[in-house]
Amino acid sequence: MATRQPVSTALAAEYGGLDAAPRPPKISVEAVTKLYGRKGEVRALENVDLEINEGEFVCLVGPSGCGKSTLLRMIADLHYPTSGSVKIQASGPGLTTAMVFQNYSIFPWKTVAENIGLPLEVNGTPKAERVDRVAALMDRMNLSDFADALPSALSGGMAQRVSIARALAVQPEILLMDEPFAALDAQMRRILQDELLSIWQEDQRTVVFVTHSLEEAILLGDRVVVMSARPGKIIGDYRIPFERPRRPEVRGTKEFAELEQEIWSQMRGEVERANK
Amino acid sequence: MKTIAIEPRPIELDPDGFARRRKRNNVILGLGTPLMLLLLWEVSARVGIVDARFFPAPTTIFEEAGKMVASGLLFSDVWATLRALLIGYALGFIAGVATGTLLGLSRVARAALEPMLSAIYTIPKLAILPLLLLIFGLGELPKILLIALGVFFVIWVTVLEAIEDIQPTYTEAAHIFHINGIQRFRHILLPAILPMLFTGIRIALGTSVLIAVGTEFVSGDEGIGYRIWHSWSLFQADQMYVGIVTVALLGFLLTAVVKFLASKLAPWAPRETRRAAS
Repeated sequence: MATRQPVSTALAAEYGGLDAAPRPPKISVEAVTKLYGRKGEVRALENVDLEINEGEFVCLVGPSGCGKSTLLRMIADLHYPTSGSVKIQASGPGLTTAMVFQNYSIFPWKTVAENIGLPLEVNGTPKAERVDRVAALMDRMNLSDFADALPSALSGGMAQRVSIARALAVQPEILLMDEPFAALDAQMRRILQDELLSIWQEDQRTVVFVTHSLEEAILLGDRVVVMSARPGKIIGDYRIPFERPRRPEVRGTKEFAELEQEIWSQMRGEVERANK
Repeated sequence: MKTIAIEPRPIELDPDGFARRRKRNNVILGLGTPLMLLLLWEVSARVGIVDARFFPAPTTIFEEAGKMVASGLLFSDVWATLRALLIGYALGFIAGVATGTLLGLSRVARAALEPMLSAIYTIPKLAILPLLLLIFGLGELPKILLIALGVFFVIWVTVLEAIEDIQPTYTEAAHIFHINGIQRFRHILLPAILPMLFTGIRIALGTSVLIAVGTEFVSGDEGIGYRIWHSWSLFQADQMYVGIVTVALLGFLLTAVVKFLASKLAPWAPRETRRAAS
């Protein structure tokens, strides 16, 4: 098994982070272990350390059941570690994190516009501002024609756009995405990946993105963090060298293929181990 | 800038102990709450805060129950009610499942019967009792029929809606593998509707006990409902309370049986899998 590369420290040095004022990372996962079951018989995560800086787009990849979603859900305050801690630096009064779920989790009893506006409605955003923001987001996500449609009338791609728009509506400091495109067909997945690239470029928010697709991780991320089969540990942390704003065409380059091959050669053994 | 720390909660630090403590607390709360209320009642009745003629102390009621058990009165009452309940329920249930399935599978049957059945559905079943008494005379039959009727309506509606909610992929898979007729009912339809059916069974249980007691209020000369009504006319509050508590216990036990059956017969229901996981 490959050893963990201390890339995050190296990265920080590269960015001048270590020499400049010691600014704590936006998200800091410290020695997190997660056991399930009354006797702790299932070991989901083991001694995970991870630092994510503000404005970084970090992709977590690993075989099924490696605990990558568990880790994401801890950052979202949905799961709690058995030991260790997750620390998040919150700078504003608004929501620190918002999550986009794989199965959309939009409410079938609310229209598209109501779904996107709901978090704003409950946090007391004035109606005029709310309407404006929802309209702008629907415009951005090509949802305007469906404002009054119920989710049951939407395709998977459209439903996931609603889910992303809802998360962006609250302008979270950290956007968490749990395999958001896994349930979509290949073409729709590509389109939404391209859209996400340009959305990210606009405000360069901190994003933690869980996926099992290496290609997706390399296309979208500034870093790709590779996790081992259960119990999940971090076994690789790759910096993605492609420049921003990143163009979707980077998928077809030789460098992309080589990087994918390099990471895959490390992941492959883990995937096989997970399926044994 | 403020730091949000997500750290282990007590449940993560000691999951086993937490589960045990929660279980223990549930038992304490579940038994302790009614016991405390009973104690409060007892003291209030004895001290005279409440009128003991209307609210006799629990111990007095318990004593009365002892007498009624000893004389065999309570047993024959419970049996009279339970017998009508079981027979009526079984009849209503079978008719309900058959009708619900027919309406769920046949468009013609549905077009012909559903509007009429839906219209009758809202008639309070007790309103039909005089008619049944007129036709069948005094005796057990009207009571059984009325219980059956009440159960029938809850069950057919549940079965029909459960069949409509079956995921098309299951019926499509059944079609592909030529699972038809009675096989289809046994292997696909019945298991698919079972979780919802059990909800219907529990609701129908409440309805059936209500109808049984209500019927006994006005006709017949045995059963728990009769005993409660009769004690009122004789101004015997003790006996009345014994009757009420007995009905409550009967309902509680029957519900417990249904819940147990549900956990054994439909372990794939979402609520059951969640319960097993927690």
